[in-house]
Amino acid sequence: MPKLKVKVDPERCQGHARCAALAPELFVLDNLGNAQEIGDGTVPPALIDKAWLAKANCPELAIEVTDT
Amino acid sequence: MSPRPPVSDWSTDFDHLDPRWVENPYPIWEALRDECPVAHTGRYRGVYFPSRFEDVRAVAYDTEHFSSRRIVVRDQPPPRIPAPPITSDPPEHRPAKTLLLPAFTPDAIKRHEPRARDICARLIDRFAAKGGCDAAVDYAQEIPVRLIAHMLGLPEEEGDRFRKWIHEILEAGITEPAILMKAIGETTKYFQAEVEKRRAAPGDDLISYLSQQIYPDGRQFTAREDINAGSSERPIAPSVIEEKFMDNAQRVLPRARAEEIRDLLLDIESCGDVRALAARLGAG
Repeated sequence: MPKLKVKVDPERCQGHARCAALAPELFVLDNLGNAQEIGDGTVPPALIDKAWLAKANCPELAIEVTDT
Repeated sequence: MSPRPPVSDWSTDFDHLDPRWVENPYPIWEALRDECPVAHTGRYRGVYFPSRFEDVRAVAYDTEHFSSRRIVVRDQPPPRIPAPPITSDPPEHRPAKTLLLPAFTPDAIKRHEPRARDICARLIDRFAAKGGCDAAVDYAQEIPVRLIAHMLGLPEEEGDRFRKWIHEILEAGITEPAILMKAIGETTKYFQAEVEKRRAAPGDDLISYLSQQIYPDGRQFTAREDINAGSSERPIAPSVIEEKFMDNAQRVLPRARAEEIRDLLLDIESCGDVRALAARLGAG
């Protein structure tokens, strides 16, 4: 089982908040509404689908899912 | 307004107001994807139409080559008054959008939920006894304009006015410049008055909030004053001209080329005549 991590590129994020709506376990919004990964972005096995869903739904292509 | 000639070839002469396109564009787009994935028309000042997902996506993300300043396809040039962040390109887009974000976070929107439900319930009450309604006109169209009016700190009924302006600016105004200009004049006057009221006595609403915002470079959120300053009665200061030139030039040119042209124009006296100027512009 690969270990996945999510990361939000703050330069690209424009605060659409799709990721936090789809995967609140993985992303949190700051007070401006821009998204950040929670903790070090490690994706528990049960949330792998949500991680890819969040990436696919980001209108700014700001989310990276990496295989560690 | 003279009637537009009917379309004979969708690849080279499409018209988004042609009744066939308005009625059912999907078969037309399907054919274009196979035959001409980037169609062009000479109508409406010249328009390209990418119909494949990959191309639409590539255009949307390539902010260096494609601008957002012209968001409605019509015969007239885009209005001089911008509508940030919708008509903003980078680097202006981010500061313009950042100002709006706090009012639209999921938590902030959640606070409007009871009001949104109340609006829906009251709309339904209006037609429930009749046993039916036009779901678009009597229901769906009403919800966003009423809630937005509420967010702006205006009476909900002002939503009717907004619907009229939306129709005049985004629909009727596509082919009727007089209707467009009248509606733009009305909206500008209306909101300018609301902004002034709230600058004097701020409330807990979106217009008050926006009226108090400052861009990172120190400018106030409402940019209309300095845009309106460019009249013959109030000429723009030379220092502002250079800045405005760069703002505008970068909407259609890469930054380096815009700077090149700016520098040449600042040094215009070194060109003997128009021909020499043209030659130096062309050399860039």
